[in-house]
Amino acid sequence: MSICILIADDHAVVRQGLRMFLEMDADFEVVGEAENGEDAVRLAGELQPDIVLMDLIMPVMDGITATSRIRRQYPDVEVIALTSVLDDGSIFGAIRAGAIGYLLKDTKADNLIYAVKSAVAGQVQFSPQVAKRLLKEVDFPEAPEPLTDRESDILRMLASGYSNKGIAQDLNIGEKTVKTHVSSILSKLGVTSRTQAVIYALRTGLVMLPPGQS
Amino acid sequence: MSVDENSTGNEWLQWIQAFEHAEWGIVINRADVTTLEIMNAAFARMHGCSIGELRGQPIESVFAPEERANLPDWIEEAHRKGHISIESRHLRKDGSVFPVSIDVTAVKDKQGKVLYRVVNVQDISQRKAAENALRDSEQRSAAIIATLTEGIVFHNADGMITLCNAAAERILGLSVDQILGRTSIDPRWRTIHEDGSPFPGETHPAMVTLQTGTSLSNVVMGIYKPDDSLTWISISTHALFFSENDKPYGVVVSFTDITNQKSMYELLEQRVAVRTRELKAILEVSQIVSSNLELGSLLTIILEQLKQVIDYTGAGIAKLDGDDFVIVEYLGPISREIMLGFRASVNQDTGYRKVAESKQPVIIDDIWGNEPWLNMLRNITDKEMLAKFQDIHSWMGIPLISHDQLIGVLRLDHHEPGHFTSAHADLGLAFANQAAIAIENARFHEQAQRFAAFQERQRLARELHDSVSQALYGIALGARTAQMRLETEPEKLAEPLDYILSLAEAGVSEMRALIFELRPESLQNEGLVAAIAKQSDALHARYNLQVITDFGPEPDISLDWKEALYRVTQEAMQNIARHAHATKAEVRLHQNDSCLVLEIRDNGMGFDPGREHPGHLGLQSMQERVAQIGGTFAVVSQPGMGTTISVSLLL
Repeated sequence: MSICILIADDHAVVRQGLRMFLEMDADFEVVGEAENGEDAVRLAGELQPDIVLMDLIMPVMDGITATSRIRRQYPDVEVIALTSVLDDGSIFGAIRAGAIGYLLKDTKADNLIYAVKSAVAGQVQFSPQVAKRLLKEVDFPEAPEPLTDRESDILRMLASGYSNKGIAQDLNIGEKTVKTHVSSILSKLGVTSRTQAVIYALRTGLVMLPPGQS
Repeated sequence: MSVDENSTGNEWLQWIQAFEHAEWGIVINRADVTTLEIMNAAFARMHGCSIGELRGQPIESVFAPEERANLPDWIEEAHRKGHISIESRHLRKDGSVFPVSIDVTAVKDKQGKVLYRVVNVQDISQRKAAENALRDSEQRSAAIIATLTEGIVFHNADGMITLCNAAAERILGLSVDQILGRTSIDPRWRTIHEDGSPFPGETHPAMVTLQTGTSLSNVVMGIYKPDDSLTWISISTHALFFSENDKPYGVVVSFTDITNQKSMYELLEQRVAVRTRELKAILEVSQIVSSNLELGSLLTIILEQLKQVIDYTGAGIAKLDGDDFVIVEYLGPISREIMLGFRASVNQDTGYRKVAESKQPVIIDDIWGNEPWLNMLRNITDKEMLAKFQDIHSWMGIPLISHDQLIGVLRLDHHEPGHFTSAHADLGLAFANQAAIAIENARFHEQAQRFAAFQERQRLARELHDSVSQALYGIALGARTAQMRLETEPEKLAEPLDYILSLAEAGVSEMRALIFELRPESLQNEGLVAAIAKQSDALHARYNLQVITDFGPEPDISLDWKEALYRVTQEAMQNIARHAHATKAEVRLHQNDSCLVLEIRDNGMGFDPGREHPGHLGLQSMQERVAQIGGTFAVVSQPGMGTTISVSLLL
């Protein structure tokens, strides 16, 4: 089953290039293109893609607002922020809005394929440097509802870069059950993305950043 | 009088009638009888009696008691002379007294013996009263004239002064003897007009009035007194006529001494002139301040204007820079190079500190004085420098305040001790306010420029993001695709390669357009048409829009106008790219005899210009630019019908 992708970018040439590039991979199907944030939210609802590649700077509605709406309205649709400027403001904004990850519009096109596949697999990926900065940036409720042991285990594994599938195998449970646990974790922590949950885990010391990278 | 024995009976009857009906009293008495014998009714009436009551009464009884003693003398005199006229006072029955005029005629026989006396008595109460009234009135008038502070003189028909009062003597500095008999044309008068020109005697108000009969008022004349001092008088005249048609028989001239008023008025005028000069200087400064942003020259102008109204030796403007006052402008005997940059710490005991603490003007009579806080210059160790300040004594510091904050001090100095006054301080404050405004304006302007530069950078960054970086990203994606196709499906290479090529071309034209913008001289060197053409290419390359261009020759207009038109085009194209969802755009620039028209049209979604719509800020800035160069801006659009923006400029 192929991965359904929605491309949201106000530059026609970029949409054209992304579609051309992504569709070379048999696993991907570009199901739609949005030229602004408003279209992106609408099409996310209509097309229910697995993932939205979201440009952040767009007319009518910017990518961060669109990300936040999509994550609240359609929690199963993951969002990867695609930016041409790597500034803290837009990265933090995207993560806070519920994007699972972000990518720079740069020449390392292969990263894009990897990132999309990881995101769809439920894997959280971002560099430790960014993680460290994000620790201070994301807000959590003061006293979130306590996680169960199983939820803590799963959060720890998420933070360690496990995919849904990897967690399911290790814990000997179904992928669907993993997703249910993750939903529960997100709602207890009052966040909208796995990435935010992982940041929570790092902040509360549930997991440590890998040594030498902190 | 003698009795004519030949008088006819008829004649006698007439005498009797006259006697009976006369309006004055008549008494006839024999010479040796001392009581009243024959009298007429008028006589009895005037004494409030009947004839019967008076007949037989002693003659003296009708006289007022104090007059009675004279009676024998009067009778004796009347008998002797034959006729006398006297005035006396008679007594009425009710005891009241009234004045009478008495005329006594003794009638004698041929031997000269007095037979009897005929006495005519007239009540002269009314005449007396009138005489008294006239005398009183004359006395009053004389008293008034004498006590008037106004000088009064009377010129007769010949122009000679025949009357003058004490005030006239005083004002003219002449005695009454010197005044009387003089005429206006007397060469001893030395008189001038207000403007200092001679005031010839024949034109003096008195002469004019004598000749024309017209009264004059408030004619100002300067008169040199004998002691050569100048007195200013204000003259009014009034002609006197016996009858309306005659020439005047004289003229009354009144005058007041206005020397004091005149000098006070002159003083007032002087003050008004000074105040006017001050206000003018302030006004000029405020106009210059509001029309000029070059701080250095502004402050110089302020100091120069200040010199017009406050006498100073040196003047400087010190700006508060952290804890120091730094002189940023100076006008005076010390060289600018030395003064500019001169610092005084707020923490040192100086006049500056006093100003900073009080935020009020501070006047120091002598900076070399003994007050302990006067360490203005004591900290200067450089002897050469110190020598420069040696001549300064008076010092005045005026706060420059903006939004309740002290931002500097206007400092003035003078070589005389005790030179500055609180009036100087008040005036200085007005200039200090202008200086504060100038400094603040300059600061805001600098900020605005910095902000404009920042905005421009932001815009260029956005442009780069929108164009080149997207193109490069597309090229990377296309190249990676091509690379992979080369391995798997080499026959499908054309698609990514075409894509890469079109992006590369687009990138080049975008870069050209951007570089064009980064070099402000481009518009001048290459022209408006070339600039708009580049923009059109970029619009086509970036958004894959069909862009039709139709340009006439390079218009012959100023660079400001070109710049404005270029920016409008740019803004309009950005709106097309961002909001219009158009597939086609047309850009035209045409000039006919008197008008240059720029038109940018798209076939996009349009909007309702009467409502809020995206891109309205852009429209507003276009409109402002066009208004600035005096052009006409129009936008025609409605939803679904595309948008046309046009600018017309009258040449």
